[in-house]
Amino acid sequence: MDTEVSFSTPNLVEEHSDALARHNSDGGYSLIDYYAENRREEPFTLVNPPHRKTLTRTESIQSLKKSRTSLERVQSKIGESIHQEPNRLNAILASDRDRYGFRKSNHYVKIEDYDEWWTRYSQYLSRRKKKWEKLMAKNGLLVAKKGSPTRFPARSEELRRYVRKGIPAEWRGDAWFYFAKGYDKLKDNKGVYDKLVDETMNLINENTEAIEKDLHRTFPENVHFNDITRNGVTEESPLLQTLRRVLKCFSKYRPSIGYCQSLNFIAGLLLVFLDEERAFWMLVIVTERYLPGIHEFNLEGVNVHQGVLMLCLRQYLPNVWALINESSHSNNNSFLYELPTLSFCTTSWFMSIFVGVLPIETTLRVWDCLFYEESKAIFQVSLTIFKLLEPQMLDLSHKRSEDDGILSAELFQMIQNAPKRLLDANALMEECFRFSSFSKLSQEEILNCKKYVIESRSRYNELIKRRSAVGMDEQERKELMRTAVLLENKQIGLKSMNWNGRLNSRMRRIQQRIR
Amino acid sequence: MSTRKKTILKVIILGDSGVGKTSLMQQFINGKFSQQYKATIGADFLPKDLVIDDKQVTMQIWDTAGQERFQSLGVAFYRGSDCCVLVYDVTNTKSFENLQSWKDEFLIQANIKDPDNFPFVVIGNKIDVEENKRLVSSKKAQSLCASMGNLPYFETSAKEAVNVEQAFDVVARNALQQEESLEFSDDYTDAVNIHVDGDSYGSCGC
Ligand SMILES: Nc1nc2c(ncn2[C@@H]2O[C@H](COP(=O)(O)OP(=O)(O)O)[C@@H](O)[C@H]2O)c(=O)[nH]1
Ligand SMILES: [Mg+2]
Repeated sequence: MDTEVSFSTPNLVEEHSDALARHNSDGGYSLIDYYAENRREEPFTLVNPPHRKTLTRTESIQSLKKSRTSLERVQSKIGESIHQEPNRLNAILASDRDRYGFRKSNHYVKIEDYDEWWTRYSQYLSRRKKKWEKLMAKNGLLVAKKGSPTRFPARSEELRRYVRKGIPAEWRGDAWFYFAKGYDKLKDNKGVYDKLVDETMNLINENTEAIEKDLHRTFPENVHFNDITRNGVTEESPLLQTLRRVLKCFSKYRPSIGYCQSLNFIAGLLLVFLDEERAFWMLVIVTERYLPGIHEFNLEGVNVHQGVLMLCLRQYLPNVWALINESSHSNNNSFLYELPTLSFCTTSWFMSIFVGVLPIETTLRVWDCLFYEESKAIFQVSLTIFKLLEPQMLDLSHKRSEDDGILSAELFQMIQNAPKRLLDANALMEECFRFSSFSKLSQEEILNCKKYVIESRSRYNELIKRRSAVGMDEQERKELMRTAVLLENKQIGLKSMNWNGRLNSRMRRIQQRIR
Repeated sequence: MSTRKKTILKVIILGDSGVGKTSLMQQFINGKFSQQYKATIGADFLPKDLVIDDKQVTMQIWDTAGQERFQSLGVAFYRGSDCCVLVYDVTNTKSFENLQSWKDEFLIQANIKDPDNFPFVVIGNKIDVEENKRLVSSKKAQSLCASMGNLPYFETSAKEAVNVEQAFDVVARNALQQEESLEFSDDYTDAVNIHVDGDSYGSCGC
């Protein structure tokens, strides 16, 4: 269904990568420099509405150039406003927006609460910035006053501690990109993004239609993601145009994913901190390294990650698990195939990496840890949220013990809404990495669990397929599920589990029974 | 079944992405429309207390993500629903053509025993748009609803609060009727389940 119009634009590609190359030549290009140079160019021009019809080559080059320039303006505007100078931070108190352009208050957070918290948090941010500067100096990495480092110290306990306490906002994009090995990606793929932009400029298909529907539903609470109305004329926001391009290019670059709702949130937030091309590659890295399978067409990755989270809950927060688990047998693993209803609340925790789940500053702190510590950070933060909710959840269950339908609904709402009030990012992170029993959870453990869940699920699916060929009714299917992976040990720690051996023998026995 | 138990009506809203499911639910529950709703990921849930003919009920409305792939999330919460609302956008022909597959998908995932008698309500949303933007006529919609088993049909605007109240009133009544008709058969399946539970425990020697 692609109504793609392609035309060769070799000059365009070269022209743009030239500009990048210039900045690359002296040890990685700094965006701040890049913007500074561009700022001297033409003043902010309003951009034409997106072209869908075939354009002549010159037209298309012009429109591309134009929109890039205005994008750079927007980014430098956000870039400037997130500089953590005390007077800038204080100015937020007088505004109804935060430093990224998001509305401070919403249904869950009152503006007074935000301001009270911000008064303390902004001082904390200034202190942390000074510490980061010292850390950088100690490692021989000089940072210009308004610049951002393109290199960071080697991995260490100390650096991890710094990351957990928050990366300075104005360095965030660079730090994320550096930790995620974005520069390698960029180096291996010179010019690829520009080519994709060209190829997708006039592309219309199912993916691009879905993207159009979501652009304005990404960050309606952020000024930069809303159209601009001036003198009665409405113009599309440059940042939305950028978001469109990044998502379209991604859908073309990764056809097994195409466009999946929630990618808009991830790409959108990346664009607040990174320029277009690096945001694109970061999105690629997120989907292939940090959250593999999560956005693929069958979303099996979501089910797998949810399964791992359920295993973690059972292990670390048994009281919470007892409320979430719907199966009546405590050592039954059927929840890995048919996830508990309440796990639906946590879908977006993985798919959107907490965007829209936690307040924005808190989300950013999670992202800092994610890009430095891998996906285990998502599980640790999820567990922390449940740990913080545990008293309320138990309380509710005592009050509602007589009525299951109401209980699970109210629990669902609690899990859905409570995170939106977690402004105090420091408290969340401290609980997560200092006080909790899962603060030492390792990436290796998570990977083991994942392997286990993947195997269990695929075996189960296989069995179902084989059985349904000979005909199996609902009751039989349920029975199979109950018995499929009934674990023999009552107390099985995540670590002590013999992941594959036990499962295999179990499955063999069941298969014999079926035969 | 105990009589003191509060009646809970479980309602699922389905339809293509962007047809206005979230907006309809918000309009019905909070009485307002906003351009500020974000795209729904996974599922959202809102409760509303209602009185239907002197009977106190709590309606649990489940809003879903419309993108097709979200169906792979093994939509466990469809189970036990009392009514399903199928929404399309009158300015989007494809969303209308997909109604039947949303219905089928629901019947399979929710494991409905008696599909012919399960209550669906169809809503054509966004009727506030200019006449020339409307692509699906009332007549066409009505005839489809008739062919799908005489499903009740409403045309609404979540934006201007047109007909939303009326549509959900019918949803609630149908859901209540369904819930009441199910009480007996529910008790029956519970009994069977308990029996099977005991059985599987025994055979495993746990
Ligand atoms: N004109 C008009 N627009 C609507 C109406 N209901 C929803 N919308 C818009 O349609 C888009 C999608 O709405 P949303 O409720 O998020 O759709 P969902 O994906 O089905 O949940 C949003 O931009 C809404 O503002 C309506 O009744 N009239
Ligand atoms: Mg929605």
